[in-house]
Amino acid sequence: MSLRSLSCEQSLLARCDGSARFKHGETSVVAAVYGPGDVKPNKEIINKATIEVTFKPKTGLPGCAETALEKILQDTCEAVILTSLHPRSSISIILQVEHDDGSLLPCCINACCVALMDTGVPMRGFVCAVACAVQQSGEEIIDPTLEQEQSAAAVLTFGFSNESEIITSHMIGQIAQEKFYSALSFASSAAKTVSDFYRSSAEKKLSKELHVKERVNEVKS
Amino acid sequence: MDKIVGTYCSTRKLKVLICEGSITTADGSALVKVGNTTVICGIKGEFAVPGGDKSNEGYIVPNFELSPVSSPHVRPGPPSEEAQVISHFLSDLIKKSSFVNVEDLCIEAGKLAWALYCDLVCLDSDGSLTDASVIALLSALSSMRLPRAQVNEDTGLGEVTDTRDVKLQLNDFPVATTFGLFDGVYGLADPSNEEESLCGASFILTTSDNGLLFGCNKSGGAALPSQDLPSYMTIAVNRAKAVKSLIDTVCRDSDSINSIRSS
Repeated sequence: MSLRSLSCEQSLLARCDGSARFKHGETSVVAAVYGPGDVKPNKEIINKATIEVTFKPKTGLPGCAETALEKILQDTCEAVILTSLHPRSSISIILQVEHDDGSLLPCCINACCVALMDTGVPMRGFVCAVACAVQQSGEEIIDPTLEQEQSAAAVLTFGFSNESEIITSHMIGQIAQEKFYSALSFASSAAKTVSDFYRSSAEKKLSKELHVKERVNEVKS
Repeated sequence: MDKIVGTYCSTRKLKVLICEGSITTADGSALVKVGNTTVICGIKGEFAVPGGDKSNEGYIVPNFELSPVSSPHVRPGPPSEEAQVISHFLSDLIKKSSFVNVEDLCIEAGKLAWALYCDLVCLDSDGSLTDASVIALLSALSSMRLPRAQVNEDTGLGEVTDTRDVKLQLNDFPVATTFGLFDGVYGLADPSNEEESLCGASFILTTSDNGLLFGCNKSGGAALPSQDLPSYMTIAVNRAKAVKSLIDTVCRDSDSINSIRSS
């Protein structure tokens, strides 16, 4: 039981303060972060930063489903960003779906976290998100494809903190309670793979920067 | 469990009031009060043509809105984010679980089906809006009576009789229970508006009286210790049992009424 191949690309957009493209297999989401920056006076919070999330689906106009997704992402990011360090400012996160092949919500959460890391927004940790589909037969599938999600009895998405606690959870469909607990434990162990992936992609990005600095020093001396 | 304060039935003594048939012009309606939170649901059935590959299915379209009378924070205008989230929650509950069969709404495959427009309005917003909305929707669907309908062979249009005896069969009664997490440790069932604003996080468990889980939705905030989940589930299931028996009492019918399934 394992995730599809994860891949991530950082700093791909030039105009924003930070960006990331996160892929779970074929599912691909680009997240861009602007901030901390100006905030509209009616949205200003005097002691914290205002987190704004805009979600753009691949096709069609945004509706209730997109607003609900934006709310989940906003609340998830607020749980990990140290908002009190940037009062009366806004941190805007924009997500664009490039391809949806299942596990869209976890891919969006992961893309947000990596983009925020790329921007350098102060955070208390990460949220590692994984989806688990429970089939009609009772079989649990981690990181389901779109086809697996549509035929499943239930699709559960969990976002775990660094300490493997549940920060975010979302479920559609119906299952017995025992299935829920087994899906939760599978998702919790799969989330460690995502957490290791964050760490290795951060190391790769920083080692590239270090190499550039060393070359510059060599040239100077 | 000392940590979890309050259940639907016992310590918090929150009254649930269900009044069905409040809107006489609607095909089904219910007014629900959970504590102070008041939500009214009205259902109108209209004819619709079943779409492409789903030619034997009808439609159930929920729409939730917050009325400006409900709270000083609600302004008149398009539905706020909070209202859209609840509309989407109800829509997901209907489409993605099988507590109600949309095939039962089909009158003639490919030609005519019922589309049930469920409009929910919150009249008093005092926390746990999702709970009250779900109970209102379930009560209104249970109390709904549609006329018998068929396709007229000559004109090809739908026509109805004057009777009102066709009802929709509900397989399950999924009931949502909101819990507020205070200090990451104490769980408050059915938080009021003031309690919700003080809690660091909240989550919604949707369960039915037979223990099936229809939803576990938590949106950010403080972490939820997973070892406490079984106790929250027990409270949610007990509440689902109490709400179901309340709905059954309110919507009790005589044997002569036919359900859509049998006709």
